[in-house]
Amino acid sequence: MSQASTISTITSFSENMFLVEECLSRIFEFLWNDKNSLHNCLLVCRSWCRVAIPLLWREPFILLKEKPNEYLLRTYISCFEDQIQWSFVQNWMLFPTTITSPSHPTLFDYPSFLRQLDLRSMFSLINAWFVKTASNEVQRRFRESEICIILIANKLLELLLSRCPALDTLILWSGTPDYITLTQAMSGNNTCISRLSTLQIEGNYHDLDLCTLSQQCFHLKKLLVDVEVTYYGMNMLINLIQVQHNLKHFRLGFRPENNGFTNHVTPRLLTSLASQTKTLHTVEFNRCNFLECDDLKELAKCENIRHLILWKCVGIGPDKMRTLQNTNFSKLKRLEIYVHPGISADMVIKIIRESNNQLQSLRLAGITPQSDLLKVLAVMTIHCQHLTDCRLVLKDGDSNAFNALLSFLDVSNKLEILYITFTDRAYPICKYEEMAKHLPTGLHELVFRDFLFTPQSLEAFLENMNTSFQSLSFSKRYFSPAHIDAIIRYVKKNSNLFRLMKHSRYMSIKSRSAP
Amino acid sequence: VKLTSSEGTEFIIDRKVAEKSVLLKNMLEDVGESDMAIPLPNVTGPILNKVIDYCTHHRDDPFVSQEDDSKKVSDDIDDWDAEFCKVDQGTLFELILSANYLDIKPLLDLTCKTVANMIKGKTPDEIRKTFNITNDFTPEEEEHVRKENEWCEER
Repeated sequence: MSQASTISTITSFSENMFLVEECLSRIFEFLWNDKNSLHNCLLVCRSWCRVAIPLLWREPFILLKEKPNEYLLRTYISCFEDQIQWSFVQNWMLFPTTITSPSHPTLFDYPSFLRQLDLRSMFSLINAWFVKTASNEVQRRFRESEICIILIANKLLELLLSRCPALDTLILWSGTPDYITLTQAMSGNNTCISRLSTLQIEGNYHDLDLCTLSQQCFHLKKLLVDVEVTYYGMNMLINLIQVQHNLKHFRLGFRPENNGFTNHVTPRLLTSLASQTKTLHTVEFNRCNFLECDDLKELAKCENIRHLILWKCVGIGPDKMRTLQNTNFSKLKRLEIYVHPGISADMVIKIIRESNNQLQSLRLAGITPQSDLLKVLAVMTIHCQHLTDCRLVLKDGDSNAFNALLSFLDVSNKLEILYITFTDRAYPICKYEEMAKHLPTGLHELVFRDFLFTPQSLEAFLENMNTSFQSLSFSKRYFSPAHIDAIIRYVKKNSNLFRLMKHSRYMSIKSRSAP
Repeated sequence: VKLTSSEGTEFIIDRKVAEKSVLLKNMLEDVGESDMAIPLPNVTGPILNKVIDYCTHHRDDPFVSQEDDSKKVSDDIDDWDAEFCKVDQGTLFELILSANYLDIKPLLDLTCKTVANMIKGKTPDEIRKTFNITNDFTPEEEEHVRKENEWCEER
C-alpha cells in the first residue's frame, strides 16, 4: 500500500476548482453507471484518480453484470494480504502464475470501497474467469470444477467482507444447491453488514444467513424476497422484519411469468409488517397465497402506504380485501390488484376516491363483477387525473364501459402508458376506431391484448391516430391477412416508424423516437 | 434581504429567493428580519448575480429532500437550465463552488451535471485538454492504475 499513500498525499494542482475533491466527487456521482467515463476520469491525473476509484469500485459486480470479465478478479486477488494462503489455492489448482500472482502491492485497497455486493454476479464472474484461465489440465483433473469455483468464491467473499467497512446493498444468493454462505465468510466481530439498507434475496439462500442478518441488520430500508421461502425461512424472515427500525419497501415474490411458485403468507408475517407501520410505504406481494390469513387488517395499520401491489395472489376474495378499508390511502400513488377470487368494484372505487387524485399507476386485472367497470371508470375520470400508467380489462361489446373509457381518456392528460386487455368475445363489437381520437397526446406506449378489431376498424383506428407514440402493440390468437395488411399499410405510410415486429400472436410497431 | 458580494456590491432580493439557499435560510431563521446585509466573502458579484437569476427562476419549485433513493442522472436538464449553464468554464466552476458554499442543491446538481456531460465520451487526453489539467502520474504509476482497473475498459 506504499504507493497508495504517495498518491493520496501529493496535491500538485494549482489554481483549479478540481482541488475541491468534494465537488469533483459530486460531478462523478452523475457518471455512476457509466464505467467507461469513470475509467477515463481515473486516468486523467492523480487527484481525479483518487476521487474516481471509490465510485468505480463501489459496485463493480453490478457494473459488470451484463459482461463479466476476469480482470476484476485479478485485481481483487492482488489485494489478498495473505498471499501464502492464496498461493496454496493457486498451486493446488495449477493456475498459470502470470495471471494470478501479483508483482507488486496494489495502489489502492480496492475491496474497502465495496458498497454493493451481488453474489450471483460475483459467482458468474469467477466461473467465467475459471473457465478461461485454469489450464486444461486443471479442468481435466477436476471434473468437478465447481469445487474450485466454490473455493475461490468463498475465499473472495471472505476477503471482501473483511476489508469492506460497510455494505449498503447485498444481493444474497448461495448458488445451486448451496455454494456460498455469508455466515461462514464473516469472521469474528465483522460488522460490515450492520448498515445494510437494501437486501435482496435472489435464488437459493441459506436459512442460516437469514438468521445472521436478523442478528446484525436493523436498518434495512428495502427488503426484497424474490424466492420461495421455506417454512423455517419464513420464521427467520419474520424475525428479520421485526427487528427493523426503518423498513420502507417490502416485497415477497417476483413478477416473471414463468415462475409458478407461491409463497404462503402467514398471519405472523402480516403482523411483523405491521411493526413497521410508521415507515413502510411499499408493500408488494407477487404470486402469494393468502389462504392462511383470515383478513388483511394488520396491513391496514400501515399509515403511509404509497404503493400497494397484490399481483397474481390467491386466497383473497372481496371480503378479505374489504378488511383493508380502514387503511390510510391518502398518499397512494400506485395500485396493482390481481387477486383470486377477486375484488369488488366498490372497494376499488373507495381506494381510488381516497387517494386524493395522486394515483400515478393503476393496474386492474378484471373487476369482480366485470359489469361494474363502468362505475370504476366514472370514478377514475374524476379522481385519477394524474395517472401516467393505466392497465385495464375491458369486456368486449360493453359499449357503456367503452364510452366511459373514452370519457376517462379525454381528461387523462398525463397518461403515458395504456394497456387494454379484452375478454369474453361478446358481440357486437364497439366502434374501437373511435378511441384513436380520444388518446392523450403524451401517450407513448399503447398495448391491446386479445383485441377484437375488425380489419376495417383497425385500419380506421390507425388512420385516426394522431398521438406520437413510441410503441404500439397488438396481441391476438390469430391475425388474419387483412389485419396484417392494415398494419403494414400503416407502417409504410408513416416515415416516422422504423420497426415492425411480427410473431404469430403478437405485432408491434416502434417509432423512431423510441428509446 | 440584503446580500454583499466579496467586492462589496450590495444585492437586494426577496426572502423567498434567498431561502433557496439552505445557508441563507438557516441564517435568516436564526437572525430574524434585519436590515443588516449578509456578507458573502466567498462569492463575487457577477457570480452572485447568476445565482440570484437561478434562484429567482426556480423560486416556486418544490423543495427536494436530501434523502433521495433514486440514482443520479445527467440527461434531465430543461431548456432554461441548459441556457443558464452556457457560460465559460471559469464561471461554471465558480458557480459550483458558490452553490456548494450557499448550499443550493438543485443548482449544485445542475452545474455538476453540466460538467459531467462535458466529461462523457472523452478520452483522458481530451479531458485534460478540455479542463487544462496536467497529467502528474509517473509512467509507472499510470501503467499500474491502468492495469488494476482494466476490468472497466470497453471491449
